[in-house]
Amino acid sequence: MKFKKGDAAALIFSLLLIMFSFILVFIYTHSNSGLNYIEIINDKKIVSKIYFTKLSSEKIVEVKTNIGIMKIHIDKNGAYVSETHCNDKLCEKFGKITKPYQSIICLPQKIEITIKNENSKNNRFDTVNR
Amino acid sequence: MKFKNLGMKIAYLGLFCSLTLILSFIESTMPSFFPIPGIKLGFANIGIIVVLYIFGLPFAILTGIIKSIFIGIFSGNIMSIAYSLSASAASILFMCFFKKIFKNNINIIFVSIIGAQIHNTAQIIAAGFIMHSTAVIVYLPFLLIAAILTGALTGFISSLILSRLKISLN
Repeated sequence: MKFKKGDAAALIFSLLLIMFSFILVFIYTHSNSGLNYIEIINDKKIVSKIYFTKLSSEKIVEVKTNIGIMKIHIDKNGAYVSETHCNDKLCEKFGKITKPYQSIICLPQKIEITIKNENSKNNRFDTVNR
Repeated sequence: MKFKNLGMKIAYLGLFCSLTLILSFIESTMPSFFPIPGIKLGFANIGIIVVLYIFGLPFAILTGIIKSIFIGIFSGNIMSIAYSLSASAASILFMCFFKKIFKNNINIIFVSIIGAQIHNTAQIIAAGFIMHSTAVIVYLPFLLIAAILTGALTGFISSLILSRLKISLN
């Protein structure tokens, strides 16, 4: 197989395409896509909405639940549950949530802590693929 | 390539259509060799390249349409027809474009690489439209780099098929 003139053109075209795709991805990941906030839902009611990315120090939110008081630590990276009074302590074990649409859910206490994005308020999922 | 009569042309076209269908069906049953989902070898492209080189653009497009529709029906995934149709059409058009411009100055392997890359790009664009999301674009660089390898492989296989066919048909 000889390397021909058209091959070089095709190769350049394909490399340009790859470069272009990397630029697109760079633009996509660096574009400002709205602020993230943490929403705490207690028994179907929104208790608080915190724009955590602007926080300078750690903030502790205490939520009164049907069992006791749940302590939620929030800093500029995300949120985690530090103290809870139910038996399983699943929410404590869950660790820290940092990305949009991640959530900590405690069923017995009916608490839901979710990170959401301003630009997609009504949309709880990125996409649903059937 | 010249055919003795229309019947022979139709017979060969049917043969390549079924080759395309069978290759893409076999591929769908094989496990993927790549860790990233969505990357596949694209054997169906072999049949389409062969048709493009022997019969020209209109028949290649026809084969692409038949392949997309039948694979959608075979796999039971009707949405895949939309992805597959747009991707096949775009990739065939680009392959034909490069083939027309450079005529004998381009190897089949590189035509195939262009086809594979355009196929991926078109599919990502179609997915973006269907899912109303631009997030799929993050996937594109990986697919394009993999397309160089898979496109080269399918191009190499189709060049082997074409070189043997030209001997037997003339």
